[in-house]
Amino acid sequence: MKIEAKNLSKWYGQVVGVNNLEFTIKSGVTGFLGPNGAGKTTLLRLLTGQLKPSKGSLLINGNAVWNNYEVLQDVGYCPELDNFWDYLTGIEFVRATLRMHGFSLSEANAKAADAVSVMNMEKFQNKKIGSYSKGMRQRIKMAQAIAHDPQLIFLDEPLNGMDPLGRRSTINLIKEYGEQGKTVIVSSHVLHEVEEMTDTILLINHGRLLAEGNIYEIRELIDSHPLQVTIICNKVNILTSKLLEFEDVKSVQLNREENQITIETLSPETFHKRLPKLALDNNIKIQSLWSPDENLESVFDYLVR
Amino acid sequence: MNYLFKFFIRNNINSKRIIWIGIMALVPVIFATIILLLKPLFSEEGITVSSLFPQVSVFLYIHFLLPLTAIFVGSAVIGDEVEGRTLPYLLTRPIPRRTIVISKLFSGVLLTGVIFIISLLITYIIMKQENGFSGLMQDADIYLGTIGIVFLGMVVYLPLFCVMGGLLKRPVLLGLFFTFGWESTVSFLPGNIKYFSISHYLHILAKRLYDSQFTSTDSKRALLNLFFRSKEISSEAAVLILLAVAGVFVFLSASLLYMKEYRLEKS
Repeated sequence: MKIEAKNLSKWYGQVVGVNNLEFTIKSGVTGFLGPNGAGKTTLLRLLTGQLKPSKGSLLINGNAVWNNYEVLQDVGYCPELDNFWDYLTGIEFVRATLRMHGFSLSEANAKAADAVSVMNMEKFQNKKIGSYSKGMRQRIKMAQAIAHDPQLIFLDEPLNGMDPLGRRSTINLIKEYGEQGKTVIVSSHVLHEVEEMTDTILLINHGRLLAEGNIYEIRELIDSHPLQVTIICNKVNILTSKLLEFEDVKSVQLNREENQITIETLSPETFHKRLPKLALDNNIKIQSLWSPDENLESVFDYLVR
Repeated sequence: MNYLFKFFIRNNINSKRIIWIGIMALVPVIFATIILLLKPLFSEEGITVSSLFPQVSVFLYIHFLLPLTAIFVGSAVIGDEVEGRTLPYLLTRPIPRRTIVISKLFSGVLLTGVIFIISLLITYIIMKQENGFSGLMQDADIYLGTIGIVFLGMVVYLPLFCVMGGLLKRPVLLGLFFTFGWESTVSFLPGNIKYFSISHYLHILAKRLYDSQFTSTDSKRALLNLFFRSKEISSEAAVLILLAVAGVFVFLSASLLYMKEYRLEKS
């Protein structure tokens, strides 16, 4: 499966959804990474033919997607929206979507059972979706996306609300599909989630494509952005003086009352490698460490600037 | 199409709307029961309960229940999936968009048709019971004819309100205005403007159907004639016009989902 976008733009009145995107996606797993409101969902809706491009073209295997239902034969889509026909049970929902896809009742029964089993939902398959937890709803939504064994799968924030076990098995499933040669596109605003699934990402913000390619290259780009790290420990003065000796540490802010220091480093990876040794050598007990800057939003803002 | 049709029937059955339509369908039944209870008052005037069936049919079914139900069912054809945010599951299947709309329209016509058949049957039995079983059977053509008119009306109104539902944010309001403003007024106005109302053609069919019930000097006929003034076109022509209008609106409904995008936000 090959997806090609050329000068692709979508706007709603004055609001720009995506702006002049140009990319090619081939088989394997590709991550659409960007903060909330970046344009990932709009892009996925364009890719699944729910929206019409305002400008440019979007082709799947050389065919336009908008109003071309035949292209959707081999497409699976897990929407971000958490909405269902709530009166249906999980298995009925998956079966219904399969029947809409054109499968006979017996085929739909068999495929629905398989998909429900893959998503570990057998235990809850006969309960109404209306009674499902967020994680269960997410899993049944995934089940309907994969039930017909599509070659092209679009997953919009598939891990949202899933429990750790569900996340792990879904990540493994996505990787497995990629290894099988399917084309899987996963959108997420969480970098480490995408990192676990794929090396290939499209970095999107404000509807624009910021970067495309290997995640490590993009990681480097992100890492060149000064990262803030806040540490609470017992010997803030010693730690501050030791940290100031290193060139990559751009600044240190000390808060003695709360035993807290906030540093800004240009090389987060080196900093994180160095810190444990520094603490051991100086008998510093680190109570907590976090990076308030780690959310993608600020990194994206930095990249956009 | 076949599966979608069945799916939407089930969808409709599970919606709260069906309960409301069921309650609305009880209105003529209650009305008929009241008339039956007031039978002595009518007898004094020489009016039989049975002879009032055409008026009840026209007032309560053709003028009230039919358009009102069509507003609620028609505007929900696309609106339901948009409001419920389930549209992506339909639009990302390898099925033509027109199939989705037409299946939903037909399922709406069938389901409301069944409710009307039951409601009308009960009303008919209540109002015609004074002549016994033979009387019921004798006027069965009136019952079946009324069903046909109501069904035809539904086939026209439903896609009309479906178009409104797909285009407007408050389709019910405009639908009510159209029904109880335009439709109720225009069909009684002199001149040719009445030809632009659906109810006018339904009146023509109703008039032809109920004509057999009265003699030309019948006083009740005069009351009905308030509604049935037109004699210009035949029943066949009225049916053809209604079917043509239905065809246009079915086409527009199907095209609407084909052309229009729906930007669904998270709830």
